Amino acid sequence: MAAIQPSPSSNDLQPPYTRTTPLSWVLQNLFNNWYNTVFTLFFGVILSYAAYRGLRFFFVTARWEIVETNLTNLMVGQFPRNELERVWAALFLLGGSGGFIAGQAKQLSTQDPTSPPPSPGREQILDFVRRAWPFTILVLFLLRLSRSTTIMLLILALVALTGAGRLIGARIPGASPKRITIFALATACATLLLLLFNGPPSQEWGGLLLTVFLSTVSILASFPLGILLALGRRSSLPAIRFVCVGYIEVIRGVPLITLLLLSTILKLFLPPNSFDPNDITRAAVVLALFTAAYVAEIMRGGFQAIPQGQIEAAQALGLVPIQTIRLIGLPQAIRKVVPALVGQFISLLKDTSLVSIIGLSDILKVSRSFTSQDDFVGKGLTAETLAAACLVYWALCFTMSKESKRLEERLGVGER
Amino acid sequence: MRKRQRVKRIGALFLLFSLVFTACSDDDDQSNGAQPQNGNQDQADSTLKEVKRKGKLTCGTEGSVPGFSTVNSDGDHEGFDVDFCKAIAAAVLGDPEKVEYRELTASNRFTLLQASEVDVLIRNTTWTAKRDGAESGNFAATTFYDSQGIMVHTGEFKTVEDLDNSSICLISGTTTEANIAAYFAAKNLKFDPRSYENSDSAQEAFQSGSCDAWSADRSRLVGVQKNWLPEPGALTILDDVLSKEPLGPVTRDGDTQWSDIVNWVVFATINAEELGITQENVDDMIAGSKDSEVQRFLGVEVDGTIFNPKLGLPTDFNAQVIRAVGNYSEIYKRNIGHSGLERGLNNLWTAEPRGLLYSPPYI
Repeated sequence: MAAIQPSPSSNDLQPPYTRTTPLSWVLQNLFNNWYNTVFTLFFGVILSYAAYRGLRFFFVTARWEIVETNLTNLMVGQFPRNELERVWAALFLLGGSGGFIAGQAKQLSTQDPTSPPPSPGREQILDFVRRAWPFTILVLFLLRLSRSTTIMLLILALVALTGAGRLIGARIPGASPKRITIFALATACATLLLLLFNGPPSQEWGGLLLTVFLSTVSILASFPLGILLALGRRSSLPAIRFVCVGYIEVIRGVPLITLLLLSTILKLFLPPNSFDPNDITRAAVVLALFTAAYVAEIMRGGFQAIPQGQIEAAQALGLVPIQTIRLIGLPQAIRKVVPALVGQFISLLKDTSLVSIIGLSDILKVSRSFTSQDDFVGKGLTAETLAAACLVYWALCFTMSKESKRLEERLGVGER
Repeated sequence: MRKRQRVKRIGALFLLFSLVFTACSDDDDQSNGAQPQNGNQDQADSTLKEVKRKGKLTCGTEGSVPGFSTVNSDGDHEGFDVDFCKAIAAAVLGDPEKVEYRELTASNRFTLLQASEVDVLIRNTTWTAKRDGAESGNFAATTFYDSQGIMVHTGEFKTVEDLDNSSICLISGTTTEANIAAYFAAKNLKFDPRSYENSDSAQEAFQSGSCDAWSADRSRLVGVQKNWLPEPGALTILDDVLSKEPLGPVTRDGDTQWSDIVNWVVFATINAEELGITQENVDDMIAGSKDSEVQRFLGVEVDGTIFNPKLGLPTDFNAQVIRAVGNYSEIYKRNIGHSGLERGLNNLWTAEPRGLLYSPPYI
């Protein structure tokens, strides 16, 4: 350490400071010789034309009435309209407790002596903007289409509630990972209860609600399952190893569509009148089982990257195998595979659009059905409906990827 | 030596596995052949029971065929096919809203019907021999006689002969493609098929001028022709009829009681039109009609007896159906008529001009 401490004279050795103005940057990087100039002009023209057409479509030529009329469809599909309060209630619950959890997590990280000191307020706001802009664009787009004061007020209330939750979470002392976990679990249960208890059957779910539900459930279920499979594959007991390898290779060797289709004819393989889950449950289970196989391989990579010395040190300290995995193996493995893991989950989110082939109305399927409505049939509005679906997917996936990047920075991935 | 043993062991394991797998697949083969009968013997006469137990009818529809099955902005299913789902629910359960809709694709509809995932399939399904036989479907009375036609922009093409060497928009993987190829081959004409994944994309391609003509079900073509915004009359449908497309509800093979029920629900709408019973006057008819045929049809008590054909349905099921969705002509007007499509073949046989709709007597 001492060797790289700056010596008093190192100031003199710093590289010369050059001021980069935007113009000088452009000249240096885009027009520094004749062929770069040609490339810049060529691609500049193509890109600006594409951008022009795209923006013009979005702001001028697109006839958004079709999405406007079907906004509720896009969000919740066939969810009974007289039960929409349930969805709002669930949103408020999620917003409030999500804020609370964020606040508690913030408190935890400030208690942690190794974390950087809290940044000033302006920095925090900037930081929030950097995090939330894709999602904000989506919300603004939807608000512009809905043109309803009630919904605007509800969204504002939701944002306010989330903020309040965060403030409260940061103020209530005694934050601990355990408490956060319990609270998150309770929220999840309460949300499901709100949506399901005595309400419309889940077969009537659709649109964004279904997409988010399917991907959340399968992400949450596939993660622990994948870790178990990865551990099983590395187990020294042949029976366990054999089962895990078999599972992973069979599932990875079959396309997701095939598994989804198989799940629909499940009834033919089960004894009559036995356990028969509804199709949304089946789709969620298939998605989770499918992703678990991939998560297992990703996690195995993480486990294998841990130096043997770490495990030996844990054993030398007298930790039993479970403790070794929980305290030494898992934290380091997860830290190493965050990018790959989040990539898998993003791909899972997009894969949920495949459930339309087994008759479920996810957001893509719902948006594709708008053009056959009496008012819109044959008017060439496919582009609008697909653009709306694209925007929703993009906002969700990009937010996920931004959050993963933050997580990587927090965990210091790639710094060692 | 040890290595060799290991190889042997692995070999044995593989053998075991392949045995298990073949055993499984043998099983499957047998069950594939035998299951429809077996399964249905178990389930014989039980679709009705199952529907009553669930308290709702699971109806397989398409979800995005204008006029036949669409989802409106309130998330409700509506359309010609959907009305027949509602009619069956009204007849069996007394409530047209007790239907769960499953949106099926052209390729998975029969699989899901076989797997008892849907109780009845009302999804623009053309009655063909293969579907009746190999795919183990059982077709009820035809609800809509469609046919395949060709639409062009008015002017350039007047007959199908003018379309020689032209490009035609189609939906891939449907009978449409085979029909038009056969038709053109018979006339010794050539064409360039442009296949699209669904009818929306095919339609947009045609409208944007990517192809000279568009071939699809005439019901669809007429709907587009009449609603064509820039100027009505800019599109022409050629007179050629490329195929017969009788569309109707499908049930599983082997459940005769359930097929009878679906049949007689369709006949109820046709009979009601013949008898002049509408959604509006059905209750007046029950209260006041002295016509014995009407009384029998609506399940009115005459001389202390109510006519009961023992179909497994309540005696007033016809009245329930008409109250829920109206007679055939009302269903037609509500869903398809406004597109300007003439009844044509879908007129009553007893009406003028004669169509193909003919119900056996309800005696």
